[in-house]
Amino acid sequence: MWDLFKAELQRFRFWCLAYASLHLLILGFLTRVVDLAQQPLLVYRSIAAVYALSGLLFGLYQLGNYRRSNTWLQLLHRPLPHWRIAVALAAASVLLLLIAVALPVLVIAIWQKTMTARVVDLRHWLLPVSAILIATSAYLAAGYAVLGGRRFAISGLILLGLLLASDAAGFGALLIQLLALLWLAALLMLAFKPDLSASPRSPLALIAVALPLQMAIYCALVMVCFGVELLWIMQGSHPNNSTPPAGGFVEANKAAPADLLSAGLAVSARSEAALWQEQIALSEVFQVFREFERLPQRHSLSNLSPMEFDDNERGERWVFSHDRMRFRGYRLSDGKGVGEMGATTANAEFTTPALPIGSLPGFAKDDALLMTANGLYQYQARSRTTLPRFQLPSAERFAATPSLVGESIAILSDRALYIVDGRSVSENEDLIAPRLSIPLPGAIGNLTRIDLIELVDGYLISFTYTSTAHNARVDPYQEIVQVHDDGATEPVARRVLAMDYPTWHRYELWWLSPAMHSLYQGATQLFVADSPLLRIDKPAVPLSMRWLAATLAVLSMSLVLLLSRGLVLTRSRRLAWAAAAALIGLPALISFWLLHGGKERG
Amino acid sequence: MKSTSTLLLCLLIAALVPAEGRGAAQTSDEFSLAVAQERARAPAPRLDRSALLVQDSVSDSVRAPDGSSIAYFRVVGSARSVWLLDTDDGSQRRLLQSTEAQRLLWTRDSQWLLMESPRQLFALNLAQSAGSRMLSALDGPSTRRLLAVDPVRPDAVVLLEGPRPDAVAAERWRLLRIDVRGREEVLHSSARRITGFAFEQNGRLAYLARLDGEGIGVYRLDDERALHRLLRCKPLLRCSLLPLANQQNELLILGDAAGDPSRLLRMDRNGALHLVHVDPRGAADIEEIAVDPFDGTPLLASHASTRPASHGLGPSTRAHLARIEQVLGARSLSIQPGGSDQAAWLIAERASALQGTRWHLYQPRSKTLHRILADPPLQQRSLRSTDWIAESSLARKIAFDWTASDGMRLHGQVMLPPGRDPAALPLIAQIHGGPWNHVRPGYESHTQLLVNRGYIVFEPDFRGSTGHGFGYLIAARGDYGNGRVQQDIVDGVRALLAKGIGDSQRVGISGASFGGYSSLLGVSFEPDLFKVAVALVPPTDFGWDLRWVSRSSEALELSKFLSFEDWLRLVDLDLADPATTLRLQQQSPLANSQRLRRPVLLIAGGKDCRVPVRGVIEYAAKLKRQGADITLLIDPEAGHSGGGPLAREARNYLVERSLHRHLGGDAADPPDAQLASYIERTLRLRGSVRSD
Repeated sequence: MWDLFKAELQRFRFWCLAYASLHLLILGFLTRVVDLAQQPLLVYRSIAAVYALSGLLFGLYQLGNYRRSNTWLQLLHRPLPHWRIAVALAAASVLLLLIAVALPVLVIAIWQKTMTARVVDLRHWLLPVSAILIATSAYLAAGYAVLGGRRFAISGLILLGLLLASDAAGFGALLIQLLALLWLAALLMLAFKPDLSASPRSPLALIAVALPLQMAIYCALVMVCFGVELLWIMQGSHPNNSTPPAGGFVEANKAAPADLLSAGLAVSARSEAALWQEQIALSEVFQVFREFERLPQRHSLSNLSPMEFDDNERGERWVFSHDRMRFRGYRLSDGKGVGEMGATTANAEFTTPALPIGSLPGFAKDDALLMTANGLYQYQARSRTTLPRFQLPSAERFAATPSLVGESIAILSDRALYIVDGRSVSENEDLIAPRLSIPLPGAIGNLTRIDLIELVDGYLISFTYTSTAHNARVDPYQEIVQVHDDGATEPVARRVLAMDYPTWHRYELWWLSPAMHSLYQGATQLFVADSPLLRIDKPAVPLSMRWLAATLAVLSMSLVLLLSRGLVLTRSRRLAWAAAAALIGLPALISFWLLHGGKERG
Repeated sequence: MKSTSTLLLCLLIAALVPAEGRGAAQTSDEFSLAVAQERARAPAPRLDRSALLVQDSVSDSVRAPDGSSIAYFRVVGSARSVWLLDTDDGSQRRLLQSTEAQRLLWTRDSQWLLMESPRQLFALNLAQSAGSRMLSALDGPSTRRLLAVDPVRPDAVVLLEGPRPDAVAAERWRLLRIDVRGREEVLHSSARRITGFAFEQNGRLAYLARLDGEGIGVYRLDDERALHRLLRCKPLLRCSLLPLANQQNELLILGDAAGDPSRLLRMDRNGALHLVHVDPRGAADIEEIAVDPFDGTPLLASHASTRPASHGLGPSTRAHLARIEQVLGARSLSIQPGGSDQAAWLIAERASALQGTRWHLYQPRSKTLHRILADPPLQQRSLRSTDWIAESSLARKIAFDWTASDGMRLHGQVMLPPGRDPAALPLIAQIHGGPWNHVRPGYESHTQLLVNRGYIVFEPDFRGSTGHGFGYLIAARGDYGNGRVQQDIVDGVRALLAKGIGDSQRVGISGASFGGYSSLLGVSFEPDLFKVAVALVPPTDFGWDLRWVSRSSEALELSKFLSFEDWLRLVDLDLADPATTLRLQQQSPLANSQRLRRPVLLIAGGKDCRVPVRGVIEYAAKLKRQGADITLLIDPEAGHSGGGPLAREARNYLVERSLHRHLGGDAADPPDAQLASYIERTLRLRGSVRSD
């Protein structure tokens, strides 16, 4: 085993060192140009994709070579248990990936920590760990795809897809990556046997193989539906084509602000509606959009956006440290550290990571606005301190950065829209009290847009709830309220928007397999802290869709029973497959056919 | 024969009528004679709309204390460069190609030029290339404001540092001296806002003014820097200290502390006040005091109400001023005198019929005057060099006083188209903004355009206006709805019509800001008198607008020492009093839109920080719903001042068209393509005034 391990290391040592050198060179160049620790999520995802591709290609090459019949027999024809051969190969490969992928990342982190004043937190030390987990997972997925059954082993890639789809952050993301790695390792071990075409025998092994396969089939079916939708778009009658259907949510999403307000007012019974229509035509309509689904979480591996801002007058850059929960500064001219800056003049820890989000009218030139989960702070360049300027109630979270509405500022949380007077921002340094607090009429996760005009007595505000309506996570509607200057809110109109898509299309993610749909939701939300910004008002599934799903389940079960009649299967396994088909539906049926179809006939 | 008799009539009138600005109480005969004088002038040629919209290519000239140089801006559009004129040989050289500075000042030693911008105070060393530096940042929540050039040190300035623009307590205010090497010295620190200071001749800070409650207290500082109150000026009264005491180290105060109108006072060592100067007519506030640049002695006082006037404060300056007026005629003069007969004076000459500013150097020793910096102006829109319009083609402002229906004597100004019969001409009441402001006697392109198109323009300083004394200012008692102030304007128009000025069937009302509000009130409540209104950036409910402004950062700009709300309360506009706001609301154009029967031209700016466009829009929407003849232009980028040159010209064009259609003045020249495009883009309601 040790010899095989060493031989495998020697076999790839030049490639490994060449990759590691090139990798280090590229990261070294990039880190001179930008702070790699402060890049947005897209950059980290792109780099992770390169690591995954590297592991994938390596696995395909290495195990693809071994898979050839003679080579495979030669490999396994050793006085060692098969699993020890597999471990030797995999361990060597992990070590190679460690050197090629993780080590350069670690070297860059060490350089940044020791040679610069840039922030290197615990989360940045976890990046090499994440890199090796991703690369190894991809390697194992490739190995499983090569060695597993030709009809189904490609499904291991779905576990790589989970890494992309998961909403987990920080340690949660690492756990997901570790879980995927362990699952893929188990799949590789199961596939690592003399008869590469044999199906898994034990129930546990069958579940380990079948579950990702069924999820992959479910995702493939979703892609088929998406393909149908593409054909629909090509055909030209899709709601997203040119002119959307009148009165529907697509039209509302695309409408010019004045048109949307006007359309909502058209169903109002208020006597002022006609006057407001005139005002809408003459006014500037302001817009507020929901921007965040999640806010920065402590120790998350990536960034929503770079957590830094510059004080140009002083020539300083301030970067948020998740470890210290404070900003740390360094001079842009020579990179020397200039200290630490916490919340308020007491230099306290920020309660959650503070994201720099620009400035506000009334701020001095180099002042910056910093946003935690429910507090806004002003970085005051003059005093080089942060001042608390706005605080949401403790249970609320910001859903957007503040936006200008005339002379006022609109602040959106998951519960309310706040209007703050511009004077409050510029005249003092105290905590700002909102002049108006307008409760949101619906769930923040469904909110697409807010359109408003100024009235002499307050505001006329339209809330449009259409987000995720295309996959039935809300029954779309528009609600208009008048907010008086004294804060009183009066309903003006509620317009129910047409669905635009047929019901079967909106619920396709569900009826294709309710169980897989739930599993997908559960898997992507595993180790994820609950986010109030994702709260939705999900309508109940219509009866017709329930019947459709039930019919597919019964059909799948019947077909499993029918197809299994000619196969060499125990009665209990036949029944288990039938039960799985009844529970899971089409993915179970197809997975049964892929795993057992075409062989083992009695 | 006819021209000869006209000439004789002119000569006769010129002999009898005090020239514009000469101080004397107005009588009915004086006004009639002034009208006759205008009637006797040759009719003005039709002026091109854009010819009236020009900008000075030289501005803000300041004389070095030693008289050797004059620093000034050259202006092209919004770009400014800094230049220096040598007063000996007349040579000019550019110091800076571009600057953000808004104001120039000299240090006392004439070696440093100070440039003040909204962001910073910069000192430019004119003696050598090294040493120039920023003296202080001026922006940020903790602001610093330049109060004065240090009147005793050769190369320093005095600044006031405050925690915030509106702060009145809780944090300390500091009076700072900063010299050109950047050294700072705290002269005084106070928990109350410092509003003024004065040094003794020996350089000791001896007097201080600061907020005392809502008024201003004047204090003497003893050798231990302890404060002893000498005077308490009641709320709203002005109490400005001249920064240097006189030769006897007596404090000089400009303000209303000893009566109406504002005057220059001397406080003796016992605290008694003595009059130094007041308007001889007893009518106008002092606008400006010119002092000796070295010992601070007040030399000249000028007034800028309906009758501009300057007065020498000593025999010598009186003689020099007489000589200057002999050459220039009666003008609105801004004079920067020298400290001795050797040093030349810098004189800025302005007048209602004089486009722009003319700069002169006066040599006291030879009593000669010669013009300097005589660069031609720039056309505002094209920035091309153009010629000044001849004074003979422009109208002059005539002071007009009238008695309001409650007996109060009020002041205003009238402009008549030269050489035309005033009884047959349409009349426009042009209402000033503010309302705490007054009509200046200088050139105004908009009113000149109206007069050139055949309208008589009446500019009333209704009660509540500034410039006519404290009593005049507070006489409005907050009655800014359809009440006393509006009645003053109506009374003024009727008084003019009664004198045969204007055709009573062709009267319009126009104005910007508060003037726009008043115009809307005029056509809403006096439709028989006013046949058309032109309202630029008008608040449509004054009380609501003040409340709105109080929430915006603009409030910090408007209130000077007190908070905006406190200041309003002192002028009887208590925003916390529901009765006040309800009265203003009930009398507002917005609440009385259904009364409107006359055509209205509304122009507003999308970025107006003083009059929110939403008030104008709601008003316009109401009028449109009821089918009124309403034209609405909104420039989304324009602020309260109305936008750039294109916006100004578009406004003038639409006003011309509207007034021509409804009052029958001269027709407007069609707009060029750029102007037409702008109007098409910004005109939201077309009413009866359509762009071509």
